[in-house]
Amino acid sequence: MKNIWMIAIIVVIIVLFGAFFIRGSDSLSPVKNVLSSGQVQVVKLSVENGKYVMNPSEIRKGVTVRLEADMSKMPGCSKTIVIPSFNVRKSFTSEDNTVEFTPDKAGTFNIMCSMNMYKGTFTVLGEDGTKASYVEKASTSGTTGGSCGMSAGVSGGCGCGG
Amino acid sequence: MANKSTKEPSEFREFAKELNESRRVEGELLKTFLYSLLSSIVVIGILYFTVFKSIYNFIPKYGFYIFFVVLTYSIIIPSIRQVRAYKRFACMSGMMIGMTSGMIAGFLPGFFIGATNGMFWGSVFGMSVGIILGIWNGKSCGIMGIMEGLMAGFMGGLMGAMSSVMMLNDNIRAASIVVFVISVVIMFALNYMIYKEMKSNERQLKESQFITIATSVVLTLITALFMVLGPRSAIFG
Repeated sequence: MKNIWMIAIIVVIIVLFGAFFIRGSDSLSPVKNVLSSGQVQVVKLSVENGKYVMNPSEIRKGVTVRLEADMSKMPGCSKTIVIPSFNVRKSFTSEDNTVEFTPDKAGTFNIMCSMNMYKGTFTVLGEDGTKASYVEKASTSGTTGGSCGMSAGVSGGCGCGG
Repeated sequence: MANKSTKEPSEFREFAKELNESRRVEGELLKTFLYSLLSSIVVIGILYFTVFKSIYNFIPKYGFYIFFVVLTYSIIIPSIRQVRAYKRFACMSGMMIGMTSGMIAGFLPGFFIGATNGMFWGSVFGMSVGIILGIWNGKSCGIMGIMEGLMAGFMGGLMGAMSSVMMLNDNIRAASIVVFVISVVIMFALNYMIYKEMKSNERQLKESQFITIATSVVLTLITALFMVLGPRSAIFG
């Protein structure tokens, strides 16, 4: 009988604690697509020789970017991209291969897969079109240009869904 | 064979009954869970109102994982009390205790830290916690249990962090719940196994809840601070 009370107390504590700490966690969903309004920069994203390639590789600060992934050139875990500087995280599928974000700072920034295996860079020009000197420090972990233990340029997976 | 199948459920019923009694250490498991839960919540409460509250987006970013970290330690710590109460185990039981404790204590913290701080730091943290708790529980049978706890903590920490990073964009929150529920079942099964193996033995150590509270406070404090203020891999900004 005493345990029934104890279990009831435990459940109440967990529910209250959980309600406080889990509230609003939906906003954590990794991708927040920005609705495009007005001018949009369309950038094609693909993987070549084990590296992300953005075309064009230079975009303008303050203007929404629509990143369109070429799924035929996105092997394995490269389908999940992360751009830490602009808080972009997205898993592309053949039905959903775009993500939009608005760069709010100028410089050279990194793009990588969620496992930090595939990497690339792109440049954000200032609002007046000038090139900023800021270069985001590249992560030292992971294999350079490789793809999860595969040689550069070879398409395929890495045991993680490819 | 028929005998065995009728014997198993009755043993489990005995165990369920013991959970409600106060004769054996099993009767203290729920109380230990509650002490650990409350200690951890107090630590998180203090941290929240002194440090975390001012951190932008704290609840959406870390709330879910901190909630599960608190529950994680609450399900692991009762087994420490149960093992300490009997002190010595046969090799087979001790190895299973070391392996289960090390694996779960490595996997879950590794999983949650991996989801917020990245694979490297999640692995390091998960391995550290898993190895320490694995050895602590595994030493009840000597070097074989210690080895088992060491290896399981090592493997659990790595696997936990790796799993969460690989699921970051694929229902990580649902995966956290699934992983946690499975771990609860495993830890409960461990409590039952210890009871089954030791029910004919006398309790060797009767102690206060000091170790429960101290362990919960230390583990929760370190994990929460590491998760929120600790180092993280590049992709986690």
